[in-house]
Amino acid sequence: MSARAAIDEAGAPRAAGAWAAVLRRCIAPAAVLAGWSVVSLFYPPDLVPSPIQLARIVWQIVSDGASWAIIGTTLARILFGLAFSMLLGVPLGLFMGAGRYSESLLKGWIVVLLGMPAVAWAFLGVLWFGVGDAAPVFTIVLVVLPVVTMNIWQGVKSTNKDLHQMAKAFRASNGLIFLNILVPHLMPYLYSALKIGFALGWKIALIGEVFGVTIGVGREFMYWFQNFRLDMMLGWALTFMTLMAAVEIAAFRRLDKAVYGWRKQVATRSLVG
Amino acid sequence: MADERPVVEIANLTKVFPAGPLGREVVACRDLHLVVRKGEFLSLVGPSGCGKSTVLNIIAEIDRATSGKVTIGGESGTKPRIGYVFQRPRLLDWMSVENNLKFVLKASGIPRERWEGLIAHYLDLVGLGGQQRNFPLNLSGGMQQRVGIARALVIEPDLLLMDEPFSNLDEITARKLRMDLTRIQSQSRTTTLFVTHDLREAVFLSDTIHMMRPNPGRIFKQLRIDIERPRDYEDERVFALERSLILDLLRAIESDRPNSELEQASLRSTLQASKA
Repeated sequence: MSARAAIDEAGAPRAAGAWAAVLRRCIAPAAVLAGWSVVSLFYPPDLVPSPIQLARIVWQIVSDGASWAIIGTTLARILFGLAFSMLLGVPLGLFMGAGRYSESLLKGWIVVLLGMPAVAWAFLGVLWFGVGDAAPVFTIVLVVLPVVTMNIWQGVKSTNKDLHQMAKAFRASNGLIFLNILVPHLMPYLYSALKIGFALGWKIALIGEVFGVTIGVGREFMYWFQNFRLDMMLGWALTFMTLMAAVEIAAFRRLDKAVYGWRKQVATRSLVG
Repeated sequence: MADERPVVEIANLTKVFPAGPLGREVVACRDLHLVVRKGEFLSLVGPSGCGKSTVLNIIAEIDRATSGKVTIGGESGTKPRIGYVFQRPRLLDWMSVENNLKFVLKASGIPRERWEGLIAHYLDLVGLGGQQRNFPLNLSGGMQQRVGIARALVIEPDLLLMDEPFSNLDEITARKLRMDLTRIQSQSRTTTLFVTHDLREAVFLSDTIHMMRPNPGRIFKQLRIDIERPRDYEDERVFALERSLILDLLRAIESDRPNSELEQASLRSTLQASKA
């Protein structure tokens, strides 16, 4: 028997197994869709739309240019809030990690900020900044910032003391230690801060936009809610969630490579060698 | 053989670790004197906790002395360069072998145009020629420690500090590395201060051995090893010297602590059995 035949023979059942796995994964969503379709028969479509009606609404939203202006505005606020949180949170985290004194100075505040509900910030934002972009960005920053700060702080705290000693024994300057030991060590923390920040950011953005804006995805929610159009609310939710998931996957797949590249290189090399 | 100019001169060195919330104050070493001459391979030997590593860390300025004087003389006036090999390799895992060496070359201020040549030379010397682009995590423990040795040598140090560099390796690997170290030393003649609790290792490698006893750490015996090089790890003289040094150490510790009668009796019987 040739080697080729052996591979084919082993390959065939594996392919069949893969199809079975795909089918198995489809069972639950199919059941949900079927159940939903049945329930929707008993209610008016603007309270419980059928899957097909919902798909039509999503299509209506994405094919309308005005929707993209709305989504773009919300996305810009998210990115702005995230950038602001990182720019502020990273130095704060580094500062907290620098010593016991600086840690005790900020620790309490971080805990308070982490415990504050986002809705409270949203109300405060509107009261302080009025209707406009500032209120939702403010809400995002106040929720994301403490998470970023805490991540970086924990990262600095977990640095390897042995490596610091090594560097000092070889007379490495603080700048050299920062760039070659602390920064590479912090990369995964920075990255997870960014990832969590984005995931939190777009959820918080919707809360922030419910009150204080004239344009935005959250504002759409509020508008359709006030008009008792649950089908439109669901349509917006589905569209926005799918988009954000796509952004997350697209953006972070590349970053994954940059951050964990050296680890993967290690893995592939050891497979080769 | 050894030039008479001291590279390290330690006088009245005392190091006290202050009492923490959990423990009492610890005197790592008291009134310690030590001179390491140029080209010499000197081992500090003693049981765990006698302050051997503390002495190295104070010389490397990782730690600070409580009192006493430490002078390290480099080449005419310049700040001496110190290479340090640790018990664990302490490599930067996210960097290639080459970049690990470049890190210390940069830290030591060695001109960039010399880097390539130095890296190639010292990787060859430790038996890792051609591994420049590889990553530490792909290497075995022994090879990682070789990188650690290359990293210490690549800056062409005035003084090489080694803190039990082979104690985390299996015996076969450790033996190979010891052989290689003697070969490297015969070429580079780097002044070396070596810390170990392994007496045979110390006898095999050293020109001079200083023996330390704990509580508080201090040197109680110094001797030159006159076995000619190259030495054989299985040489009868190495064995015999190791044995007599272990007994010295046991005696020193016994005279140190008036412990329970049982403990003393067991020490005494060990000593007697060894004499028989």
